[in-house]
Amino acid sequence: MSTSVFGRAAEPIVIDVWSDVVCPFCYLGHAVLEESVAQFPYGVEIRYHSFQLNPGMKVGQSIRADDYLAAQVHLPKEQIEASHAHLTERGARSGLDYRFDNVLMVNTLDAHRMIHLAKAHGQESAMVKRLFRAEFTETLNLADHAVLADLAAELGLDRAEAVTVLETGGYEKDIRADIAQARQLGISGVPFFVFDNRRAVSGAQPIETFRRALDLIRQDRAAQPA
Amino acid sequence: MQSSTAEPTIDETDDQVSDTPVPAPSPLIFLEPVDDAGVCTTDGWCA
Repeated sequence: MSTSVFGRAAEPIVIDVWSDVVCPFCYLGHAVLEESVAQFPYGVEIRYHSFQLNPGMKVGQSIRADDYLAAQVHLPKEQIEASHAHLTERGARSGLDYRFDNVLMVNTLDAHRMIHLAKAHGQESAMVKRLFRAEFTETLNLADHAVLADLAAELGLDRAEAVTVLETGGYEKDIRADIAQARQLGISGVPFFVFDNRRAVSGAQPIETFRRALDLIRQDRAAQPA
Repeated sequence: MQSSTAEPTIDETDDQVSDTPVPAPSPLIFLEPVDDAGVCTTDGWCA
């Protein structure tokens, strides 16, 4: 990347985010990150990367998330409900409406295809946000091609192109590359944020943490030789 | 409560390193996780 006459400080700070659309903390982390970026007076570029929490699930299958968690993690119902209540309360503070009772767990490979399609049309962030709302508030089935294609169309993308991407397994290489990069970085949990390829934040942390990361990157850049 | 599961390289606090940038390529510098941080992991649980 070329450096402008104003130096690196004038370039947007790049934030690479790994997340999965069935990850409730990713929804929260996405909202809090956006809030911190909106308050930051300098340029920021957010790039989303695919991560799959449940790659072993059969593509196309859907199961109630609570049932999946109970079977997968063997936790008592009360503990799952307490976790949901805590997240619901934190989410509400960021304007999110979690409806865990009917949330579905799916293999998110096809949903990630839609994010990469949207990225190709400059709609990456909008698609990520739309998929989170579909998953956690509208409790739609994100394994359903018709649902995904409708969401793409809703954002102004070509529905026929979305269907083609879904039916032909489009953007598979891009998704695998994102996941491979996550593995290289040692990421086993999401959301995961990397600022300027230098500083990392793991998890849906409070807005103060994201503000501090942005401020530290400004300091890092100021300390670098021109 | 689980606060972080991804610790690939260095686990330093920002306070320790904020004024001492290291030459690229550098390992990631983690901001210190807080208790309330939420992560979902590939073993199927979020905490």
